Amino acid sequence: MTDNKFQNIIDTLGIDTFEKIRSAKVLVVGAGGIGCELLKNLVLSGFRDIHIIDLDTIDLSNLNRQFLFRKHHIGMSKAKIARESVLKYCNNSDDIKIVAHHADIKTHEFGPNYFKQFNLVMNALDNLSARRHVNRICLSVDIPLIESGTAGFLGQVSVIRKGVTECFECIPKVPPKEFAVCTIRSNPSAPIHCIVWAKMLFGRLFGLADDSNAVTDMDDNIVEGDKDDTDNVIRDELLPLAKQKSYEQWVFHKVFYTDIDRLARMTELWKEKKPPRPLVYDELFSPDGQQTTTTTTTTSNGINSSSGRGLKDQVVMSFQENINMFVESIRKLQVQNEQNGALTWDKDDNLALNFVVSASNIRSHIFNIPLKSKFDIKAMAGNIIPAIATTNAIISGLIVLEAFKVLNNEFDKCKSTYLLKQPSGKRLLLPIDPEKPKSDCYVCSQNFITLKINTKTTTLSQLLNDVLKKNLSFHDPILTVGASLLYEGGDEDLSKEEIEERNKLEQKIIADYKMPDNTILNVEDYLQNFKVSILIIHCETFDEDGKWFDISGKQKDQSTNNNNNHDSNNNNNNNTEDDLDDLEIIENPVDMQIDASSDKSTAKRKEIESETSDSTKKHKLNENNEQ
Amino acid sequence: MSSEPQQQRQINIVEDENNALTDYEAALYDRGIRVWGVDAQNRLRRARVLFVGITGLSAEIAKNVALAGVGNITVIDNTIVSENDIGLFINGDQSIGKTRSEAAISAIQELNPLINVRAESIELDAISGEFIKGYTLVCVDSLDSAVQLRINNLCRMDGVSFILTHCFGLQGYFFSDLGNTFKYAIKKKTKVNKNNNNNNNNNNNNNNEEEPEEIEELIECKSSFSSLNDALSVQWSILPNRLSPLYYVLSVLYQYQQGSNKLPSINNVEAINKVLETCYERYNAQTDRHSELLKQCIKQLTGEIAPVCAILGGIVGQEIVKIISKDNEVINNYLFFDGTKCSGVVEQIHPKHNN
Repeated sequence: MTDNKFQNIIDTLGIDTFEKIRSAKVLVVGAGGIGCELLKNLVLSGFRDIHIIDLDTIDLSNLNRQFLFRKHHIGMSKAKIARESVLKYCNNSDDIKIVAHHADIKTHEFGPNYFKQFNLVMNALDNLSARRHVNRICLSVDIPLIESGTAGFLGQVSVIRKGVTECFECIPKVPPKEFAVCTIRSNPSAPIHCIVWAKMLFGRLFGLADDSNAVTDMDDNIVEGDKDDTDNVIRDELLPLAKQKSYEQWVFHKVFYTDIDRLARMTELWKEKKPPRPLVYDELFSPDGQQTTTTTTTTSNGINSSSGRGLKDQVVMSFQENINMFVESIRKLQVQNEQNGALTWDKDDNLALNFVVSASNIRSHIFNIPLKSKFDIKAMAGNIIPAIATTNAIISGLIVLEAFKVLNNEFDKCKSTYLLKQPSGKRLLLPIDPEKPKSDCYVCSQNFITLKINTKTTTLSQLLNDVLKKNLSFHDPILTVGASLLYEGGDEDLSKEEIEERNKLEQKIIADYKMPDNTILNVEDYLQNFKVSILIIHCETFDEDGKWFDISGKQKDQSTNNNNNHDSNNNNNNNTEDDLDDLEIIENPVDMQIDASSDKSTAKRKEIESETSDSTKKHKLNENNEQ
Repeated sequence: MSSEPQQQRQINIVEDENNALTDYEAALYDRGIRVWGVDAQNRLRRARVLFVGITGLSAEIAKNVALAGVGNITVIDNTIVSENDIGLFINGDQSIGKTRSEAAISAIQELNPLINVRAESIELDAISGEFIKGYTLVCVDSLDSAVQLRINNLCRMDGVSFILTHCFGLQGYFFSDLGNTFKYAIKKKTKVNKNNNNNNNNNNNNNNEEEPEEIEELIECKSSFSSLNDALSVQWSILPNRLSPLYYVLSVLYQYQQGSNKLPSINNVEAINKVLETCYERYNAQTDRHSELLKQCIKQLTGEIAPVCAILGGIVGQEIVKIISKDNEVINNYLFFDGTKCSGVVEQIHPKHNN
């Protein structure tokens, strides 16, 4: 009886398909922009056994598109409220079961065995690492997956079926933009460099102690020479004095005077541009605390490009306003830090945002870089790719149309569909046939990777964290070479001593720990049910600045391996090692435009994906590539 | 009763024009502002959109424009909600017995408490030019050609943007008539090297060090639209070969209703086939090709389903935002969605003198 309300579905798709919809059990991963729309479409199409999972909570800036959430839901679980709200579209008599999990999909509770119960999994995710994770599990238990993503006006949907279509990792995703640490620390040339620096400074001043954060050393006052060369070293004697005056004066003096003075003395950096000029706190503020007018306001040419009536935050503040905001936010943050302990940077925390806005703008001023508005800095620092309701609605509708075909086992009819901003030719929605699995894909076809890395300087910890976890999205890797077990993660069942032992192990150089040149390393992840063999090739030089390892899916012909083994003991190299572990990675403001004239294959290649590094990630799903 | 709230709204609108967006609005609409800008957001807030016919599709459109921040939304649909109704604005058992517009307004208001939402109980054939005048845009979902035509003509007379849309099963379309001249401006970014003022030190100044400055130019554009009657009277022989068969069905439905003012049931294939025969001459059709297309298409013309409503509702919602903000290329004048292929195709269908 109640099925009458689905008469249109029955008329359109036939009773057989409708019965499959009624008996299907499906998983929706993510209850954000796409997730809300998708859940509604599934319920209104007759699906009645749905699991939804999301670890995020509701924020004000979600309400413009995540239409199942209201103002009074702010701070609550997305998955649980989405379930509650969508059930309102149902009658009491509807036999519908929605299970909501406020949890991280990348945990053991949701491993391969959990996935096995579903007929179909639909991703509504906002970050690359979770997408890869779900991709691997779905491949391992052979459950069809529908993958989707949106960015502004653009979106895409594709079906992933083991052995039939390309998997999510068949085409390497555009890697996040990385900045070499020297650009951030010594030689910025664009606003983003100063913004990344300001976020690192926030972590240094108010966050947890982190040895890899090399933004500045607060007590180091050397401006020229080396501390071991006591005769020739020049120190900034004003720094200890500033430290005695107040916390904000100390910080100000350290980062805008001492550090800048040191850089300005490195004349080779400033042959082709103006050297940075150190700022003197007392010249900007007279002794009684009143600010004095500054003579250096000329470099700020941050004229707002939008027309007159912008938002308050879209106006670029003057240099002096930035100075005031910087001092004020340091004072307040220090109080918060003392009261609440270590702080985590969050773009939605106004005080933390003010700190990054003012600190980055002052630094930009010093390096003759245009200043930016708070509105713009928020987007750059918070990796915001704006998401809007209409794109999510279109993409979620397309997901359900693909779901109908998947339930009917009609994989030959499945499409990868792209939503464009402007029609390409005449097409606003561009469907293309899914590609076949790539024969060299290390995830779905070959399970073999070649890794080029400096085996004589890289530690096991770097290999684990930066290469295997960050870059290859392993969750809990187990490393073996031949029959010997080299490393196993997880701490639940280990004693304190055993963990300490393992931490020591992690500091070993990999060449000295059974992984020299030409090793085949086997890496396994039980949670992802995923295993891969990695051929390690020793390599000391990389073509790109800041790059220190290279991964390719194809197995390199070992006979042509011509790496040279000359020693790396010369001093020219010692900087490189320093720089290895403190790269700040931020997301690439990817050019999302799909060229209107591009043919199918290039449109396909321009993946509408974005991602973030784990280093900028809080313990929740990322904002970037939000939906 | 009806004049008092009208006056109050007038005052609200005046206030709106003087006020900038509040901090709360700026935070709520943050992502939209990042996509279309503050000026567009202000235009959305001042806009008044009327929905004639609350279907699953128009409910999706209304949801999208409410979330985007369209400041004033009015709905008309006096149909009573039954227990078999399904859709975005049907709030379970609570909505049964209400009119569709009553059910819709509380749901729309809940989506965005900052906007004005109201229902009009006016009968569709009582809608006058006076009534239409105050709106920025009217969105119609109805199969009744007489209603479509009359509202289109009223909109044309008063310079109100008009959208007609409908979903049939896996098929759907929208038509827009934004008047004889629709003006909009598109932003074009050009990079300018700002190094041009130091002529005397060309040699020692390294050009590469200067970041080129981005300058945004506004380019005024115009687009010309056809009335619904003109767009449905085009000779079939001049239409593009790959045009969606749905277009032919729409002209047939339209033509049929011109004669009999009775709506053929969309499920009654035989009745529609009969109508077709009489239309071939009128449209200068190639009988074999078009009858085959039509028969194929008519088989698929069932009632609306949720995923197609979501897709077309998203496309039309975005189009309404673009039309109101006047800062983007708009679709002129048809879009056809085909869920069997997942294609969304834009077509320009105008009488010859307009092409």
